[in-house]
Parts: sequence; structure tokens; C-alpha cells
Amino acid sequence: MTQSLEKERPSSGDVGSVSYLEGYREYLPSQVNHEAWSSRFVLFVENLSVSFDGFKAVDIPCYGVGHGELRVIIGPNGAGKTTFCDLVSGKTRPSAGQVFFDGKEITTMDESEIALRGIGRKFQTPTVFDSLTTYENLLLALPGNQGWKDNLFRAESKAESANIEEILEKVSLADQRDKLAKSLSHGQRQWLAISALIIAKPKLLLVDEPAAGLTDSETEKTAELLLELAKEHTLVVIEHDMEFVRRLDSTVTVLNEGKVLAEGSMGEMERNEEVMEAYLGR
Amino acid sequence: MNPQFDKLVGSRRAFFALLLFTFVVMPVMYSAEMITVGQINMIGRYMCFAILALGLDLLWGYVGILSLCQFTFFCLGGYAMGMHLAHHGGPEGIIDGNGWKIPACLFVVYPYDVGESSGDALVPGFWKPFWNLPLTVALGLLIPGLASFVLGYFVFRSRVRGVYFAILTQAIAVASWLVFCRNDVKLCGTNGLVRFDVIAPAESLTTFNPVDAKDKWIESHEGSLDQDLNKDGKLDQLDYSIADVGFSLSSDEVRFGLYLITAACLFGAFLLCRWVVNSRLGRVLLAIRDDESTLCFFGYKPYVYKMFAFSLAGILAGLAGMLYVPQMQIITPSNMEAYRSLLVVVWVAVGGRGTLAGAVLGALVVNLLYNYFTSQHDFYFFSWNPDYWQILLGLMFVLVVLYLPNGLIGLLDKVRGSIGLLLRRNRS
Amino acid sequence: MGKFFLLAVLFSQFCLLESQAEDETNAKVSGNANPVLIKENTLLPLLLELASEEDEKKADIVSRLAQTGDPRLEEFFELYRQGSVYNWPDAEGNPRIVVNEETVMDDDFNEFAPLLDPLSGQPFLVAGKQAKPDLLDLVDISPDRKLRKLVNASKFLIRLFSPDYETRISGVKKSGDPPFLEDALPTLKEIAEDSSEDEKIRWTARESIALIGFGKSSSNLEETESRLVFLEELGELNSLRALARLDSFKTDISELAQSGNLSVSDHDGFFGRISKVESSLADHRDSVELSGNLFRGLSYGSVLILIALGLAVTFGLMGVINMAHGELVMIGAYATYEVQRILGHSADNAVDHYYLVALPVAFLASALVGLLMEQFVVRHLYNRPLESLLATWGVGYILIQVVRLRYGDNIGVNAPTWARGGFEITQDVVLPYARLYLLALSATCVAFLYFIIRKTKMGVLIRATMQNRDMAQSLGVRTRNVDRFTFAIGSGIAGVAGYGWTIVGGVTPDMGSKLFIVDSFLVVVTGGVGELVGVVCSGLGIGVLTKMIEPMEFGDFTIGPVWGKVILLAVIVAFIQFRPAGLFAPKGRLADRK
Repeated sequence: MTQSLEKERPSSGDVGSVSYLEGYREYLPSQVNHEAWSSRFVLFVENLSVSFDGFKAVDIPCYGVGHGELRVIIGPNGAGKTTFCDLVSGKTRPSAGQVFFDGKEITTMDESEIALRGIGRKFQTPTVFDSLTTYENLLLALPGNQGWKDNLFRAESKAESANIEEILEKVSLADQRDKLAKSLSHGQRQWLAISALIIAKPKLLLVDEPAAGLTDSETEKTAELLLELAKEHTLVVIEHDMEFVRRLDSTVTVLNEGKVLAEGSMGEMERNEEVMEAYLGR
Repeated sequence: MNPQFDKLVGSRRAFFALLLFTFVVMPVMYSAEMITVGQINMIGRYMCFAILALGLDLLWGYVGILSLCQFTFFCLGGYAMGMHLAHHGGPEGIIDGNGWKIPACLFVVYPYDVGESSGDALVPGFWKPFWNLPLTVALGLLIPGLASFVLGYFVFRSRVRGVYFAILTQAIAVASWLVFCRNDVKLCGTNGLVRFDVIAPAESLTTFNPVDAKDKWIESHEGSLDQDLNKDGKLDQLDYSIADVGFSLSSDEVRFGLYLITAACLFGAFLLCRWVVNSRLGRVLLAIRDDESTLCFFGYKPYVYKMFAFSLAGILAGLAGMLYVPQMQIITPSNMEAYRSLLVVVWVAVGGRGTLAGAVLGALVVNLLYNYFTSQHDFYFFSWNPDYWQILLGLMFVLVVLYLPNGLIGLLDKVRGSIGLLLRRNRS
Repeated sequence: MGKFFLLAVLFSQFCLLESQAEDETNAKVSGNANPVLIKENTLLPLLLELASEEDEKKADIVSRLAQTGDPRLEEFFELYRQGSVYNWPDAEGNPRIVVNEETVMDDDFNEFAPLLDPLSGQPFLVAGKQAKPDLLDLVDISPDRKLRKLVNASKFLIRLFSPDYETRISGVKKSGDPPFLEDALPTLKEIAEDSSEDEKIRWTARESIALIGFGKSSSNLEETESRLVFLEELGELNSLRALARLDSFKTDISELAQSGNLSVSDHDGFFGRISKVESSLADHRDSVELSGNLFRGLSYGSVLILIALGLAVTFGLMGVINMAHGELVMIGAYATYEVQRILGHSADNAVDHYYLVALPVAFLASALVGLLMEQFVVRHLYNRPLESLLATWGVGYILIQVVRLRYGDNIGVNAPTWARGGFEITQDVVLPYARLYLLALSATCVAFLYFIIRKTKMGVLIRATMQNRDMAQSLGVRTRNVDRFTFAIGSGIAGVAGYGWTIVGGVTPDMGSKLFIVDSFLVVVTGGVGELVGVVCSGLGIGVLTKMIEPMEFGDFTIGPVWGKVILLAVIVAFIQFRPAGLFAPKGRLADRK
């Protein structure tokens, strides 16, 4: 499995820990045509910043995630990781800068539009609909069914139903099919949230702390799930659990105080002095 | 059909029992004179409230939006029907310059401009569409539906929710009441619409103005001067308005008929709401209630669904209003006071929110209690004064919110559960 | 904290008592204190002279009586004019002036006249009982027609001499209104030139003089010219009364021109000068109206703020929607009523300090009811805004009905005497004292609340509990007490609002839900939840906006309070489109909380 990943992962030579900015500069959307940067990156931000009451939560001159990558973002508390996700997914409007996804600028779009374009997001706390059953949670997540007329007059097709059952099997929730989501355990809710994400077939998945609150075996299962997803989707994972990050074995970006501090493999980050300082404080 | 039907009605037994009771038992009791037509009329009116409550339950119990202006939409429908009935109302009144007979209730409080006299009064343009019954019904559904649609668009798009929305709707209720109280909007001010007489004369189904109606009527009697009921030597509007056409609102049969129609509409509305709630759209509504922002991330636009629910509730309210006015025979702006819309919430809360059946139950129970407790009763040791009802109502409300969050339906479920448990224990 | 509050109350009591004492001294100086003692010796002999036979002497007496300015003489003059005043000579033939209005008949059809004292209106006593002599014993001294005219005028002129400021100024003012009294002119001129007289009265006298001159009819060039001169003087005085009478003057001139008594050029010249005066007067009137509306808006806004403050506290700090807030206002108003009743203040018997006592009483009454509400109902509903909305509405309903059962639907609350009248900041712009007091009350409450929340330890505890209840609890904060305190303060302020309302509006059991609750919620919604600054800004904004919109006219149609409210609502709905969480909305993580 590691072999196939090696082939797809951009080698760490491209984005070194000190000169990562150089790796992006030639792709700045303001300076090149969009074919150039969109062929290289599925997600790109330029001069992205947002301030809350005078405090700059995120300040990134340029940052990109390539097609099919599995990128992990780490950083100490308050570094701006979740805010970054908020900006990309449309939950928060940036004070300045632009966000580009899949060939188009999405800075001013709202969450529904961005979601329809193919960015899926899983939050820190698993967001499932408590009053609905497991099956119904996935039913709502099916792509292409957001119109109200569809929902009023049409039931789901056999193919869609089968799709849901399949995914439920995969995450071992098939026996919970008709139970209300609020009676699921925390781990089951995490998986339900992830599977809702999968079924929507997004191009880019933003996964915020997938391992939070899971047992060791559940964590292992989640890591496997993510790695398998990475084969067909682009993933951006935010995590704190270093074991988990090492398990994912992919490029790591370190954020600190809203800025990108460094980038590279997990091993490189562990040897990077600035990163250590950021985590341990001066 | 069967599993679908079951899903639709919830409990089969209860549904058929109620169907039986409403359409068989009650009529039998009525013809055996065990209940009076007055009581039938009362049940009919309370069933209108039940339809209104259904709409609110859809909004509040399923989507989680608390709207405090549902009674205003009820009154919009009510005024539509009221204007229709006023057109065809009592024989008093004069014919205006355009050939329209001015409804009696409008004539007595007509807002004349400076220098005008009673001869200058004219039936206002916006009253005219309500001459025709099918058009009235359509408008009575459309106007509140449209109002809620437009309001919903502006408010839901800007993501106003929860408490803010509730307060905003309350303010709208107050503002509407203030407007309707004025004489110069030509809706008869604080007197309201009254002096109704008949409903659905044949001419109202086919014509759009009184001149045509009168002509049709004269034709149908072949122009015979027997029909010159006011003996002024000619066949005109005034004869037509005295003539015996349509269904008299004070006759027992008509009131019973209205009861049956209202009951049918109630069952229909109930089934409609159940269908909506059981569909995938209903799931989306529940999801909005649970976690609206997550739903956005699945690509849904919650405001569209909220607008749908709000408009549906508005239409149901308009329907309820239209059924109410012929049975009540009057509608005034006092029906639009702010607290009335809060009352609807009481009904739903007492019955059990989020269950639809609870809305119906709550509306009927609270109003029957109201009926009972607003008259003087002398119990053995304690004399009940109708003034105490308000206190009882307030108390009921506080207690339901604090201790019975699932209302009477929830209580019934609990009781059924414990009985079931008891029976099972006894059996084993 | 409690100590500070007590000190504040005591201090304000002290200030108000001092100013009341000052008022009394002032009253004494202007001669208000004891007219009876001062003038008794001079009036009676004059009255007795009325019994004399000579008409000229009588006219002279009447003038002198008028000049005393004694207010009781106004009534006397009327009685005298009617012929109800008689001379009832005593045994020695000395005159006694008495009043008789109605006679009574005994069984023998003899008419008897129950007598009243001419000055006091009380029964005229002889040997302890009301005198009731035979009608035939009374000597008729009623005035002839000429004298009656003089008496009528004197009835009026007396006001000009009255020691009481209010009477004087109303008399001076009235002399400028038709029907004009030429006799008043010399007195008016005296007043206008009397340098010891109050400025405002002198101005009014000058205005009235000019109005009399302006109001005369004119039939030729010279008379019209003199009228115009008076008009121009009125223009300089910024007399609004003149503005109202301009049109008839113009009509007069046009008629004169048509009938040929005035040349066309004169007519045009006159009109030119008139329009100058008219435009300056109209400007003055517009600016007066603007300031008036502005002030009314501020005053209304201050009431809204008072009410919305308590709401913002409970809603913003505790996530509780208190629909019974209007009822807490109502309770404050009724508590004020009770204090008034207990202390016996009424229209006849002014016990003005009742109002001072009522302030803490209203605060405590509402705070107490609020505490009870909190303990039994609200406590279970924190951060459940929709449920608390419904449950508190039920409580409000109960409160309304209980109060209604106890007090009926209408009670009369009499304002303290200083609440009438107003303070004239510039000409014609009068700021009623009552509303100024309300403004001051609001400002004080805002400051009070601000002080508590920002500068005291309790304020820190409140803010901590609001932001993170669990964390605060784990740090040892007794959140139950914080909740109670906050709710009580919020309710108490509502009570103060009710207390303030009694001097400007009517008090009924449902005033809370009818008049205030919706408006005050709109203030909270617009201002941004939990932000005191927001409440103040939006309260003032909504108040001023409403009062500026209401009087606007479009042709025949004045907007008025009903449409004003509708427009305001539309504006707020539009405003919410752009700022759904209000003017001062919490941003960032906090924004997700509700």
C-alpha cells in the first residue's frame, strides 16, 4: 500500500521546509493563467487573511494542495487551522485575499454553493442529524438531491439506496441502519459523519480532527479509511494526534499564529527547530 | 398502498376511529338531538383552529421556526371570505355609482373624503374580486401564502432565526392589527366585517360582479315580476339582495354542512402534512431543525425549505380562516391582536409539538377548556369566575413548558408505555 | 455594592428635597405664599365701597380692585356682573357685601337667600350659622351696562396683575387673542416696560400689543400700513401666533385692492413685505417643530431604552427571553400608584415627595416579582430562548389578570406637580419637565448598569458566567446567585421604567403587552444582543426615527403613529438583511453561540 502512495505523493524535494514559498510563487493566480495553477493545484489560496476584532487569525500569502494529495495540517492551538478550513469552505468570509478551487474562484460563495462544487467538510465534533436515522443521514448527503421538489415528490432510486447500504457496510454501521443518530456512540457518529462526506463524492475533503475522542482500534480504522479515500479524493486533514499523523505518512504543513511556518514530511518537521519552538514555546 | 398508508396516518386504529367519530357518530348524535347545532358549530370552529395549529406545528415542531403571526395569516383568509360574505350579505345598503351594492358593514363606517356624502360612497376596487366564490377561495389561500412567501424570502435569506424571527413576526402581527383597525383602509375598521346572510348563491359561482349576477338571476326567473320583492316596480339589485338565494348561514343544515366541510378539510390537511413530513423534504426539515449550518455544507439551501414550510403554514392558516368566518359570522381586527398568535403556540405546546396529531389535539382541548371555563360555574365549595380563565391559561402554559415538554401526546405515550409494561409484567 | 446603591438613593433624595425647598422660597418671593394675609386689609374696604350709589366711584373701585391682582376677585367679578352680589346692611345700616346665587322657598312661598362670602365662596356666617335673610332685606347693587363691560374687562385684567406667574402670563397672552381688549393696552405697555418683570412676560406683552395693533381692521392705506408695521415687529419677535393670522391679512389687502381703496403698486409692495415676514416666521416655525420632534424622539427613545435595558440584560446575559418584561414594567407603574395612594397624593392634595419614595419602591417591587419568576420558572430555562419565551408569556398573562382583578381596568395616577410645565430652552421650544426627568432617569439607569457590569466585582462575575457558565462554576462562582442578581436588576430597571411612565402615560393592566414589549424587543434585536451600547444607540435611533417620521406629510396624508410603526418595521426588516445580528453584533466564535 505504501508503494502506490509513493507514486502519487509529490516528493518532498518539491516543497522543502524553508523554501516552500518558492514552490508556490510561480503559480500565483494573479500572475499566471489559471490553467497553469489549476493543473497543478486543486486548491490554492493567495494573500488570504482574516481578522477578528483586529486580531489576524489567518495570514497566508500563498498555499496550495495538489490534485489527489493527502495533506496534513498541524500546529499549536490557535494557529488558525480550523479558521483556514472555515475560509475555504465558505463559513467565514476573508478580510482579504482569494481562494481558488478546481479552476474557479470561490472566495465570495456561500457554503451551499461551495459544497455543491465539490468541497466536503467534516467538523471537529461529528455533525450528524440527531432526529434522523443513520440511513436518513446518508440519504440527505446523496449528491444531486438538494432541490426541494425532488425531495418532496421523489423517493430515492434503487441505485442510490444500494449505494447507501454499501457505505454503511463499509463503516460497519449496517446494523444501526434504522436507529436514530442520537443513539450512536461517539465513534459511530464520527464514521457516520465521514461516510456522509464520502457519499457526497466531493473532490476535496476537509477533515477536521478525525481521530478526536476515538479508541485505539477506532483510530486505526479511521486512518485506514482516510488512506483509502486518499486514493480517489484530495484530502486535507487537520490533526493533533502525532501518532495518527505519522500513520498517514504524508506531507505535513505546520501553521503557527495564522501563518505557514514550515512544510515537509513528518520526519523533517520533527527535526525543524522553528516548529519545535512553536509547539513548546520560547 | 398499505404500508404507505400506514406511514401516512400513523396509527391506523386511531385514524379510523376519529374518522368514524367525526363523520358518523357526531351526525347520529346530532340527529338524535343529543347535541345541539350550537355545539356542532363550536366543534366546527375549533376544527378551524386545529387546521391553523397544524401549520404552526409543521413550522415549529419540525423545522424549529417559531412564527408568532400565524393568526394574522388566518385573518387574511378570514377577511377574504368575510368580504365575499359581506358582498352577498344583508339586504340593507345602497347601490353605488358603479352598480355594486355597498356591503352594510362598510357603508356604516365608510371613510368619506372631505365634502363627500353617502351618495359618493363606492365599493373599493380591491373588494371586487371577492364577489366570486371560487376566486375568493383562491385568493384566500393565495394572499396569505404569498405574504408568507415574500416575508420568508427576505427574512430567511438573511439567516434571521430563532428568537429574532419570533419577535419579528410578533411585530408584524401588531403592525397588521394596527393597520386593519383603521377606517381609511376601507376594511370597516374596528367594527369588522359582519351582517352576513348567505353563502354560495349560484350566481356567485359564475359571475364576477353584481350586475351580471342580477341579470343571471332575473333570467333564471324569466323576468317575472313576482320577484320584485321590494315592490318598487322594477327588478334590480335590491330585489336580488332580498331574494332567497344561496345557503343561509343561520340555518341548521348549513351550519352542519359547514361542520362536515371543515372536518373534511381538517383530515385533508392532516394527511397533507403527514405526507410532507414523511417525504424526504420532511427529513430535510428535521435536519434544519437539528443543525442548519451542517446542512449547508451538504449543498442545501435551507432558506428554500423554510420558505416552503412557511408558505404552506400560511396557506393552511388562510384555509382555516376562510372556514372559520362563515361559522363565526363575524371577523374583526380584534382577531388579529398579537396575543392570538401566541395562543396558537399554546395549543401546539399543550398537545405536543412535532407530532401533528398533537397540534389538533391541543387546539381542540384548549379551546374546549376555554369554552367551559369562561362561563360562571358554581362548584360545591368554590365559585369559578370567568375572569380566572386567563390565570388558568397562563398557568397551563407555564406548567406545560416546564413539565410536559412533549405535551399531551407525550403524556399519552408515556401512559401507554407504562400500561404496556404493566400488562407484560402481569402476563409473565 | 448595596452600600453604593443606598448612598445613591439617599443622595438623590437629598438633592430633590433641597430643590423643593428652593421652590418654596421662590414661591414666597413672588408673593405666592399668603395672599390672604397680605391683602385682607385693603380688599374689604374697597368691596364695601361698591355699595355706594355713585357710578363713577364704582368704576374707580372696580379698576382699583382689578389692580390688586387677587385671584379670588376673578370669580367675584363674574358674580358681580351677573348680579349675584348684594348689599345686606346690618342693624346699624353699615354695608355688608354678600353673594347669593339661589334662593330657597319655604312653605309660605317666602323667598330666602342663603348667603355666601364674596371672596371665599364659603357660607356667610352670622353667629356661627349661615345667614339666610329674607330676599327683600337684600339691596340690589348690580352694575349697569356700562359698568358691566368694565367688570368684564377687569375680570380679565386682574390676571395681568396677579402675583402668580402662570396666571399673569396666560392673561398677557390671552390679551393678544381676539376679541381684543383695548383697555388692556396701557397695562400691557406698563408690563412691557417694567424692568423688574420677567423677560418672558415682557416679550409676551410686546407680542400681544403688536397683535392687537395688527388685528385691527383697516380700510385705507394708512391703516393697512400701520398694521404692516405691527406685523413686521411681530416678525422680529418671531411670533408664531402672527403666522397663523397672516392669511386673513392677505385676504383683507386683496379685498381692499379690488374695491379700489388700495393701488396695485401698494398692494404688491405690501405683499412683498408680507412674504418676507412670512418666510422668516415659517423658518422659525420649522425649526421649532424640528427641535420639538427631535426632543420627542429622544424622550420616546429614552423610554424604550429603559425598558429594553432590562431585556438586554436578561436576554443577552442569560439567553432568556422574558415576555413578561412588559408586565414587570406594569408592576412598577402600579407600585408607584400604590405609593401615591398610601401617601395621599391627589389632584387636590399634592404630596410631591411621593414620587421620590416611589422610585426605590417600584424598583424593589419589580425586582421581587422578577426574583420569584426566576426562582420558579426561568431558572429551568436558561439558554432555551424559545421555551423561556413561551413560559414567561404564560407568567405575564397570569400577572396581567391578577392585577386586573385587583385594580380593575383603569386607574388614575396623578403626576407630581413639578411634572407639569416645561423648560423653555429657546423661544417656543418647550421641553416638558416630565420628559426631561425621564431622560435623566434613563441616563442614570444606563450609567448605573454600566457601572455595575464594568466596574464592580459582581459585574465581572456576571460577564464570566455569561461567557462560560461551567468554567465560572468550576472556579467557585456561585452562578445561582449571579443569575438571581442579574434577573433582579433587569426586572428592577423595568420597574423603574414603569415608574417613569406614570408621569407621561396611562396605566392599565395590559400596558406591558400592548405598548412596550414588541417595541423594546425590536430595540434589543436591532442593537445587538447583550451589548448595552447597542441598546442605547438603537433605542435612541428608533425613538428619534419614529417621532421624525410620524408628523411627515405628503399632501393631505399625515403619516401618523400607525403607519409610522409600519414604516419602522419595514426599515428594521431591511436593516436586518444587512446586519442580521444587530448593530453591535458579537463576532467570531461567540457568534455561534445562539
